[in-house]
Amino acid sequence: MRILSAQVDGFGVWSGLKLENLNDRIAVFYGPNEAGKTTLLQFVRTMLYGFSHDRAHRYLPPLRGGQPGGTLHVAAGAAGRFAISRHRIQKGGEHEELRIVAADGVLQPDYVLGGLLGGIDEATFKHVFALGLGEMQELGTLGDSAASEFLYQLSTGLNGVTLAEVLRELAASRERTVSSDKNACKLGDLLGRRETLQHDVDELRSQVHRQAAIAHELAELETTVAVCETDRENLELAARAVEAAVTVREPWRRRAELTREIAELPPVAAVSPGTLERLDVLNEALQGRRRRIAELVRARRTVRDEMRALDFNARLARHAPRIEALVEQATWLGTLETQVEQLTAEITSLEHQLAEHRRELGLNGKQTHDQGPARKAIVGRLRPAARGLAKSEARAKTAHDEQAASDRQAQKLAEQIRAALRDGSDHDLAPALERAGNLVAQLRRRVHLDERLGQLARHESELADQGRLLLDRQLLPAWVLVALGSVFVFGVVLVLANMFLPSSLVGTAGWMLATIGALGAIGAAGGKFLLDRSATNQLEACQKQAAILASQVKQAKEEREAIDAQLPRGGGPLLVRLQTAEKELAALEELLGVDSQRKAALAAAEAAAARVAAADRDSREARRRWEQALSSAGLSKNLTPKQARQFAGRHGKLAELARQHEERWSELQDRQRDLDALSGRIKQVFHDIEAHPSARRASEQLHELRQKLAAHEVVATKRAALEQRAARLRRQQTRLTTAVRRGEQRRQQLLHEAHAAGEADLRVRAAEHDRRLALVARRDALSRDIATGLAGRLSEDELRVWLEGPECERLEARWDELARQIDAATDRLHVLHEQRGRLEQEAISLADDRRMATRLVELGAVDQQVREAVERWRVLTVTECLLDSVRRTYESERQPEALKEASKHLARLTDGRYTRIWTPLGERALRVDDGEGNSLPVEVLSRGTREQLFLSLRLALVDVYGRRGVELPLVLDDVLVNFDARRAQAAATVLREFADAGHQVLVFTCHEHLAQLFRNLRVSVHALPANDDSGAITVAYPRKADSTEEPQGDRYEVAAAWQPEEDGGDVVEVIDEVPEEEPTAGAKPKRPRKGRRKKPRPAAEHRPAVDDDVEPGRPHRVSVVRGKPLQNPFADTSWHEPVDDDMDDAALVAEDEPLFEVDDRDETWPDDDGPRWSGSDDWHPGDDGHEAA
Amino acid sequence: MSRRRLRFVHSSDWHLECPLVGLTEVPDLLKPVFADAPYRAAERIVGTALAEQADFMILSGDILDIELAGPHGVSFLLRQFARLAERQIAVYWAGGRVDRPERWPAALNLPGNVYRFSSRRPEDFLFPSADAPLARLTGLSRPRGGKLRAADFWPDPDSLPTIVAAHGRIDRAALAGRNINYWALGGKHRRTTLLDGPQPAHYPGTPQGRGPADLGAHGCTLVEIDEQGRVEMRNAASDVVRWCHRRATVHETTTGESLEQMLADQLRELRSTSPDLDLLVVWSVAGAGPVVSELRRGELAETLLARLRRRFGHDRPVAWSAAIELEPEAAVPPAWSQQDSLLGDFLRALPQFDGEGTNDPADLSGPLELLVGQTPRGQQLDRLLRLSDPANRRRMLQKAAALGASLLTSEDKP
Repeated sequence: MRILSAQVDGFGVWSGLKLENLNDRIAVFYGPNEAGKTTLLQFVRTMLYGFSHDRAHRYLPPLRGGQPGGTLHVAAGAAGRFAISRHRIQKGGEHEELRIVAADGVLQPDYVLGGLLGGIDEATFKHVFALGLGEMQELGTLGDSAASEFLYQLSTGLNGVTLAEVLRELAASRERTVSSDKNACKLGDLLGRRETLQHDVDELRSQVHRQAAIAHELAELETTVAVCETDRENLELAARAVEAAVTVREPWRRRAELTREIAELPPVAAVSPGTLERLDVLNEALQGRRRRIAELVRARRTVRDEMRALDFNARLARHAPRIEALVEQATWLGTLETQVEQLTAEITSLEHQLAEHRRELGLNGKQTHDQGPARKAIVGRLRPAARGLAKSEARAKTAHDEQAASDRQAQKLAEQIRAALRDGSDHDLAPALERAGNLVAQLRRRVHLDERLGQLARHESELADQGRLLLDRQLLPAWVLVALGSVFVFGVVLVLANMFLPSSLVGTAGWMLATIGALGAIGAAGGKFLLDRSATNQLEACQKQAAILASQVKQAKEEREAIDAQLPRGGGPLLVRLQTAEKELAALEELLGVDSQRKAALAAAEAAAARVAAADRDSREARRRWEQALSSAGLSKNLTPKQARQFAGRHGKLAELARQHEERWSELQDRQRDLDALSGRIKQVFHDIEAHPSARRASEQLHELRQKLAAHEVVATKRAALEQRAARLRRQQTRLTTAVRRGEQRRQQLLHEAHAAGEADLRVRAAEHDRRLALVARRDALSRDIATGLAGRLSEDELRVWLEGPECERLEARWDELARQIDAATDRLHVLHEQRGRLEQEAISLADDRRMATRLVELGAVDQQVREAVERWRVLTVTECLLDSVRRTYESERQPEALKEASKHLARLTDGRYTRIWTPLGERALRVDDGEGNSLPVEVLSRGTREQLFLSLRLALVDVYGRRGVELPLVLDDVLVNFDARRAQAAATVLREFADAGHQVLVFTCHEHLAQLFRNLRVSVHALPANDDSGAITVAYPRKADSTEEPQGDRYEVAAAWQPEEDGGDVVEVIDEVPEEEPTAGAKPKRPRKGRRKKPRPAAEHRPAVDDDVEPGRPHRVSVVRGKPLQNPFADTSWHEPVDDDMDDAALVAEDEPLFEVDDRDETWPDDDGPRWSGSDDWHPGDDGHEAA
Repeated sequence: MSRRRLRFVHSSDWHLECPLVGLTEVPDLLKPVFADAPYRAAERIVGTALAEQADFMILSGDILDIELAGPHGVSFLLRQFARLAERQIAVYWAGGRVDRPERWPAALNLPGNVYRFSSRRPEDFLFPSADAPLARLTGLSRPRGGKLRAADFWPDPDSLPTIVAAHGRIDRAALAGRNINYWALGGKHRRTTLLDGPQPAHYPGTPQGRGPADLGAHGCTLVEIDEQGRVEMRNAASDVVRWCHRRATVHETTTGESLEQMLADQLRELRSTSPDLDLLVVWSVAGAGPVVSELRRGELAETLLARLRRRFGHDRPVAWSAAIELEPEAAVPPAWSQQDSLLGDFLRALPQFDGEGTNDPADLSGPLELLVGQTPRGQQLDRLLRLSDPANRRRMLQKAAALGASLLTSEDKP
């Protein structure tokens, strides 16, 4: 991949910069410090590998605006050319957009970029294809062994210091995890912590056994406590018994005395409890009942007087049920009277309607009631005939429709055929088909004849040519005649010579020569004869064929004329006519199907016509049957079925009216009979109660009866109430008389039961009995007091032992002794309870102890850490082994190839002083052989030689990658600045040759003497324009370097004058300051660092003035255009061909001439563009290596 | 056949002695949570039995290691048995690897509602009712080093529903045709139904997930056997701390802040769906972009974890972010192995070592031999560091690839 041009839309100090026509071999970019070289290098890396975090931080947003990003145009050999655009976009969050567009404008997928880069990642690109001053300086700062290792790593193709540091870091990490150092071993520390925790856990394991022991002790303690409590309870029982005995001792004595007093009372017959009370109650009840009987006698007398005062009709009362029955029929009676009246009115109306309908139907006389069935008979008789007539007419209509449809279809198809034939002369399809077929056959024959005539004409022409040729051949060519004649003459001469010359002259060979001469002459003559004969035969055969061909042509023409006479005139070329005729024939053949459909339609129409005739016959027969039916029904023959249906309907209505009249008449008869029966019954009731009705209508008479009955019912109700009251008084008097008699009997029985002579005797005996009961009650109260005192603690039998035995007087002493024993038992139980409490508390403490769980949680965390540390150690070890394996592969496979190439470059760089780079077997170090065969380790080489070695190795690696198909530009950033003149010259030459070998080399330098060095080698040197705020810049470098011009020296900082070491030795040239950093975002410019100086730099006045080399007024070949940058990468950029490497033409490159001019407005370079930019002006890949590690 | 439906709770592998693990540093707030989670989960299972009015409970082993659980575990277990005894719920307990019956101290009396199966031979208990037994429970505590044999268990001769309680592995093929209504098995921490169908064999799993491998819900199984002997199983979650795995996909425009917001949104969703659970979340990130590069270097992952823990790790219930990992394709994009670079060579060399070989970098015997002689804990380390499992070996090679890629890429260095 080669870079053809670059367009920086916005990146660091560059905005709107376009660099076009870059040399595809070697291009040197010259610009003073802060000109933007490093920014340009970073831009190239960004376009190829994207906006890394640090690059985005340093170079974005662009200092002078513009869309962050840009475009690189590259050429990739056979793959063609591509535009790689990469921009930072803020839409929807900050992200970058990569677009790869091919030369044909087709957008390519992103992975194409990987292919263009040959699978080289950014790290490899940095360590192989990019070489900067920083790396050189870093190499200079390394010690001997470190430099040796660095160069050795580089020779393997590995990422130099990066891989070494990675391996060291891996080993260190692994050591930190597991190492022999007890204090620094992380895993050992973790295992120690784990052991401590495990020890704690093991100790806590015994807690559960202690818990079991406590449980066991508690169980035993419970048994002991239970025994003690039982003993104490027994003592307390005894104490409570003694206490009870002391408490109830006095009541016990008084109860004994009462018992004795009761026993001493005389015996008295007991009077039943309540006897006296019952006697008093009986006496009082007897007096009350006697007073009540007297009151009842007076009340019965008053009732009898009221009954006699009432007026009661016995006859009406006797017939009251009949009257009530009739009254229940009052509603029915009214309904009958109303219905009779309504029916009478309806019958009158129906008679009027019947008369009207009879008049309308023309019926005379009185109609009978069988007209309904007569109508049904008419309808039944007419219905089959009417149905037959309707069916036959429907069939006739269907047949007519089908015939019409078939006719229409046939006409339609015939019309279609006629339309198809309208253009022809025929009206029928068959003749038209025959005519079209004939026409096609004739045309085909005609075309065939034309073709045949053409063939015959060609054949005839060929025969004519052949005839002419054969005619020409009738005369032998001159050279043949000369040759034959020569042979003939020579033969004759030989014969004649033998015949006429003396034998001495011809010798013995005369006859032989004569024979040869004779044979030659004969042969020549024979040959001429045969040739003439052959030509004549061929000519005759040709003429015969021409004659046959002429006859065939004639015959064909005659046939063609005959066909032309038959064919119609006009119509264009024959082929067109043939195609038309074939199309017409095909169209007619398609009409055959339509014609067959038409014939089928005609046949269907004929069949439908036959069905129409049959249907018409059926229809006539059906109409005849209909007329017969009308006649038989007595109706007119002209009636249609619809009219007959209407007649039948009106006849039915008349019959319905007659039926209704009959029904109403019958109903009126029934109602009149019922009404007469009820009227008779009412009149009979009036007769039976010996009264006379005042109204005429039966319903009014019934109302009169109901009023009479109501008045009578009032009197009857009053009489019944009085009778009931009299009966009740009689019953009460009877009951009271019986009760008085029973009360007397009970009083006598009560005295008899008490064995008393009278009521007074009974009352004395009751008083004595009451006194005895009072004594017994007092004794019982004392017994209850004793029971209360005992409170259920012991029974009287148990108490009797204490109160009636010898202990009765020593109860208090016994009580005291028991109290002492109880106190002792209580104390013992207290001790046992305390012991049990302690154990229970200990059990609770054990149960609440969470130390075990806490330790297990911590142990789990430590175990997890151990697992991760173990995993980490394994991963580190495996990664280290694998990387080491890769390193060994590189050493074994890539290093020899690289060393071989590097040896060549080193020999060129050192002018043959060092000829070979190699590595001893089994050692990981480089050795260099000098021209005299001495083998030197890297450590003894000077810094300059080491840098030459470094450059050689880099070039060799690019070679190695190139052979593997990876072609990327080699970017060098001021790498020659430390070389002396001889080394710099050699290095520039090697780089030029390296580019000639097919690599693109981009060299950036801020030193004019180096730029001049390359100019001397006829390498194009491009100056960078000013990166000020003046707008977009387009720099089009020359496509053909026909002349060069020096830049105007006063616009650039000229590099320090530089003098080579006179002795040409390995003296290190150290610049006095690090190249100034161009302003970058996010950091301040670094202060210049002071470096080692072995040799003071020349004073400024000794520097060569660039102005001296400028030729004012000379035309410039570099165009610098300022303006708005274009966004489309292909909109304004022509695909520049790679610049031909025509620098070998001395005329095209003028030494010490500026290559471009810069706009006059750019007088100065910005020295400080603000605090947010920082960084070095130069690229320091070596620093990157450290950061990557 | 039983005369009514039987309902019981089947649980196993309580492992009260095992707190939660999986974090290298357990914050103080989570230490009691880690220690108490198995107890709270077990309490929930007992609560389930009470709430569901179960007839009995089957414990299929590994309830607690009595020494490691200590007095607290024993007291806790006795309290739970007492809760069940108050409601006349029997407990049938088959011992497992850590809770064989003979390890239980004789002085610690179990309540009368607890029936333990012998470890010498299968033992039968009839689950009683007022008039006749309702089910036969036959079980075996885990014998020393023995494997369960289906042929040791027989169905009830009177056609009562038969339930087997045991701990350990059992041959699935041998279970078929034994006419056992339900195999209540224990010994697997993940819920597993070994044999499905009308007479299932089931491992209910541990009621509380212990580490990142135990993702998702854990609990017990509520089993019902109807009058015809048909078995219905229902899961009942009991865990109080749940390990979750969540995935986040990033792209070119994703920033560290937006990724944090993405993860925070998922945490809020998790908390809303499980409001009463403490959550431990392991994140995996897929995709590509600058955020992946930052995660590959490691600092961003630490920063995100710290922020998420600060936002969601201090209020109960906790939503604690345990780790943020890159998925393999994000850690090492496949395109890198196509590069013509040191990294490409390194990545291409990895797969050829995913097997046994003489130059196998995963063969750690060389470094280990040195360690054994040089380090104070040589033998111990040798045992720890040696690799034996092929899965570990593959995982280790993946991590080596990620480490090598992170060391050899310098995409962000100018």
